[in-house]
Amino acid sequence: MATTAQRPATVLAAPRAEVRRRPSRGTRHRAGRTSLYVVLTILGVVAALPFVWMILASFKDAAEIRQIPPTFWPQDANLANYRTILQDPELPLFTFYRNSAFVAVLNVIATLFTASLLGYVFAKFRFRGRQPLFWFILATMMIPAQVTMLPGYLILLQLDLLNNLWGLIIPSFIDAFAVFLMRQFIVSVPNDEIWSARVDGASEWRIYRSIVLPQLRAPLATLGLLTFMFHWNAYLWPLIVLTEQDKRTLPIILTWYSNQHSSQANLVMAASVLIVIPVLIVFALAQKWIVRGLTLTGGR
Amino acid sequence: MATIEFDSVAKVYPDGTEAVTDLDLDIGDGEFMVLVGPSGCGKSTALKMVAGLEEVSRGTVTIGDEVVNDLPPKDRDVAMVFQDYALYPHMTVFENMAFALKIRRIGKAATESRVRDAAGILGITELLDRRPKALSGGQRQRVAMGRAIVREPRAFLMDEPLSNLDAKLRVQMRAEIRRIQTNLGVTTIFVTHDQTEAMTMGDRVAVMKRGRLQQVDTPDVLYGRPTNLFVAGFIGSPAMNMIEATVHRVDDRIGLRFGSSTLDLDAQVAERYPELKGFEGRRVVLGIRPESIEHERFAGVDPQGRTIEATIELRESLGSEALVHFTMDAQTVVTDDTRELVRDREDAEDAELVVEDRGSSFVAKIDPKARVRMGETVPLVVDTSELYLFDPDNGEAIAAPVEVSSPSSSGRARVQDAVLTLEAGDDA
Amino acid sequence: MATEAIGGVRVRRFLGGREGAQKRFVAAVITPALVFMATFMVLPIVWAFALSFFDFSPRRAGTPILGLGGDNPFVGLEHYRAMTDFSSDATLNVRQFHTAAKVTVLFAFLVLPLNLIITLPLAAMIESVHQRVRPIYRTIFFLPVLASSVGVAIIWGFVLHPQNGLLNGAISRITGNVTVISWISDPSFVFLGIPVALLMVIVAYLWQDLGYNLVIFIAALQAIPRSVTDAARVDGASAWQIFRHITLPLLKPTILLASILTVISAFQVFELFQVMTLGGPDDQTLALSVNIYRNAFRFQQMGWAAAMSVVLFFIVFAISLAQTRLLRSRWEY
Repeated sequence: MATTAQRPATVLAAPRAEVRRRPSRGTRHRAGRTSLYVVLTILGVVAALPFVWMILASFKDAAEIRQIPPTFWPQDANLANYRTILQDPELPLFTFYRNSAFVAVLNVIATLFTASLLGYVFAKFRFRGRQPLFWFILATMMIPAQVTMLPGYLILLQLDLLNNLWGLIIPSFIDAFAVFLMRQFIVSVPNDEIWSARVDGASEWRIYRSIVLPQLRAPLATLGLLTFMFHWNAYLWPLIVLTEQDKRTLPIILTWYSNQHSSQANLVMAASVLIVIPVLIVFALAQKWIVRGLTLTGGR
Repeated sequence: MATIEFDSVAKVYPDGTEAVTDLDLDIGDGEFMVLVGPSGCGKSTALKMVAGLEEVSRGTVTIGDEVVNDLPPKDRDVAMVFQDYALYPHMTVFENMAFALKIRRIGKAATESRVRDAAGILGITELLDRRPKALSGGQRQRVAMGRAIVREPRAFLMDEPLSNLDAKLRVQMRAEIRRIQTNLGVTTIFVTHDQTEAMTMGDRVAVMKRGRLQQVDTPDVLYGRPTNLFVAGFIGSPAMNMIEATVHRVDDRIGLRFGSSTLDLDAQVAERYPELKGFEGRRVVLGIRPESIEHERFAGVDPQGRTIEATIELRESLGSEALVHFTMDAQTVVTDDTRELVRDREDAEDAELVVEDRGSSFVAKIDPKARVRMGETVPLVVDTSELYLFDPDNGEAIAAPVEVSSPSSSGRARVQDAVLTLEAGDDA
Repeated sequence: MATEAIGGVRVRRFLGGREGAQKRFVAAVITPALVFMATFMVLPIVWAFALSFFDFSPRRAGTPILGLGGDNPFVGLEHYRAMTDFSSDATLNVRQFHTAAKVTVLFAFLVLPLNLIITLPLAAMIESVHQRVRPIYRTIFFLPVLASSVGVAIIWGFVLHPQNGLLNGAISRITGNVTVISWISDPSFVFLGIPVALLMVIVAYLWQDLGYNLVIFIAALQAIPRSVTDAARVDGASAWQIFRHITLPLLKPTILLASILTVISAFQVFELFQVMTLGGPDDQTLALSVNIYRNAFRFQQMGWAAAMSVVLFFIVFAISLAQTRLLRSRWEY
């Protein structure tokens, strides 16, 4: 349910074309080409500025951060802010990293498992109610998080899962987007392979594990990254479910810390760096896979 | 309508690879010039330089009397037909054909009539309201042609336009394109990797290899007087047999010896190769076309000095003739050129006729009535007036006399005849 | 599709007992999935609608049936009726709902054109630079998509800080005068009738969200075969005419879809409004999502919040329906 806010980006976009590019053209176009690079670079610098500003501010001390007008480059760059944060007994960062990682990793495992299994069943088996059920799952992608979060809260209240990290995991066990994505891939697994495994006497679970799963490595990797990213960054649902400090995940802790130290932007920025940047680097490196996931064709 | 001229044209990519090297080629007004060669020989690049889709690195490209090196494609007044047709998927057939006219602000009425005329020529009038998606491959090809025709351009540039069609349709479109081009009289450069297409369509054919022009001439001359091993092997199907032989003289007669066979060179042919004297006692590459080899019983000439002993490997009947693959105690010549040719033919339509590992395997085209069995050793007679001789060191023809070829009119008439024959033949 | 399915009638004929195994497998997978979906997908939707007909607070016990009734009385369509009260003596709740609806619609429909105006040319520009540097530019613009929304909200809060922010600092540097502008905290600061605070949230959201459409448009551009644009060039089209007559029409289906997805996600934005501006100043950035959250979990007015969420549901659902219609058209090259 929390995941319903996820953007169903798959339904978009054209098939990936392999990149066939002509080498750059000659002198005639060099001027236009140069100005293109200049414009793009300026835009790129502007786009990167907020991140740069955050990082630079995290190295400034309390006095410098209050200067009017503010400095851009830190006058006396130091790591004092980071030391303060890491030594703050009120802010056991490790606990929050662990909470976030626990939620994100378990969600990834659950999503990959349920999506590949359901995707397989929807792609390769005929059973009564298959089509309506699949359409229902697709339709849930269109329901805003704000609709389901109220009853979702009440359901967790009944199940006694409030203020429990499992409350961030169990409701998102099945992710509509993920099931859809996996089904699209599994459709292209040759039926003959499945048949021949059956003739060889493999059980259905065995076929799922030994024939279907190994062919899904790339899409599973992409889906895993997207799922991790989504749950690692999630804010609204954890905000509703988690009420005790030591259960909270990083985004909630970041807002809490920001409110606690609203007059010490240097500390807030250092905390933001600690929470935003590490995963940003990982995601940036895995970007190819994430982009692939976002631009995958619906491929009907 | 205009002439097109390549003057020492080269194309060098930023990474240093040279796709076209010092290309000199003059194409006459109204001429149908075919650029042919294996993939990667630079033929498409040369075409795109005329279109303005590729920058010219060195030399000049001239259309009419105008050097077009720095002219953008839109100002060159040439039309192009692409291999994948490149139809605009969001436009109807009519809109596809009218697009260039719309860009040029040609009036509605004129556009309408030009599109309808072109559609009439191509027989696609009833398709004008369809989108490309709803067309078959052959119909798309016609639309692509129509898009070029409505332009009434100075030149047609065709980049392997038939290669995505099935074999039958390809033969049909071959004749049709030639007919349309002849009627319109528009200078045309046609790029293909298929030598049959090149031979049947071109007024003249330019054979290219690795960016370099090998020979440009009428199909007849290319077939009869190839300047080097590459052209000799590329033109003709099945490909010419290449044998390493030694030249020796007995009395007045020049003989070519390979294995246990000796062929006496016809006196007439010997005259054509005055330079052969210098090769006496040395090795040469002897080329024999499969169609110059016949079964002894059907040869109708004195087999003396013309016979080779062939062990039959495989016989393929084509109805009016039969192909036999045979071995003899001689080696085929393997050079970079022949290797490239074999590689190229693997993809060609008659790939199955090419023995991949040629070793000592050769091909002859014989009378189908000749009963030969696999494994049998039979005498085959070679037409010694149709032998080709090449210098093994550089692959050049041994002093083939330089004949100035006459392009244009006569060539075109001949090809038209050929095309007509071809059409008749295809019905059979 | 049906023809691709494996577990058909034929199975029995050839493999006897195998069909039973397949049935058991499907049942073993689908049954728990159905239970799960009933609990976490169907029930919440039904429950949300039900809640909107009650005056409900989780603090009050109510009846055993989902806690509805009893201390949480049934009010029928009262919440929806109240929403249509545009008179000046409407309750604060209702007036806030009107404000929130206005803010959300304004936000979504300002974000859309601005997003497209930036992403389309940007995608075309990135697509036309050399292959080797393309990923660098793409990464820069895509990075914010990967960052947590909360982080984005906090970073932008500090970029726009009146005294110590980057924006005012840059303006001070350029003009030479110390400039203190309250970008997101001055309710009287209005530009073209739109609160500047809201515009700043839009700017931050555009920055965060551009990457999505950017990569989607780049992929769509790459799907257009080179020969099609080459054909247009030979046909005499200038760069602009190619863009206008070839590229743009070919991108149309992608643009439509991207538009709809952009609007739908804009309707659901929460973090920026909640963390960066806290709905302020003076409710000028009080989005529906924030208003629903506050009513449900701060003010314990879950019935009222549910009614508002149902309205949001219908808006988003209508747009989604349009999306599935438009999904059909796709070019074949």
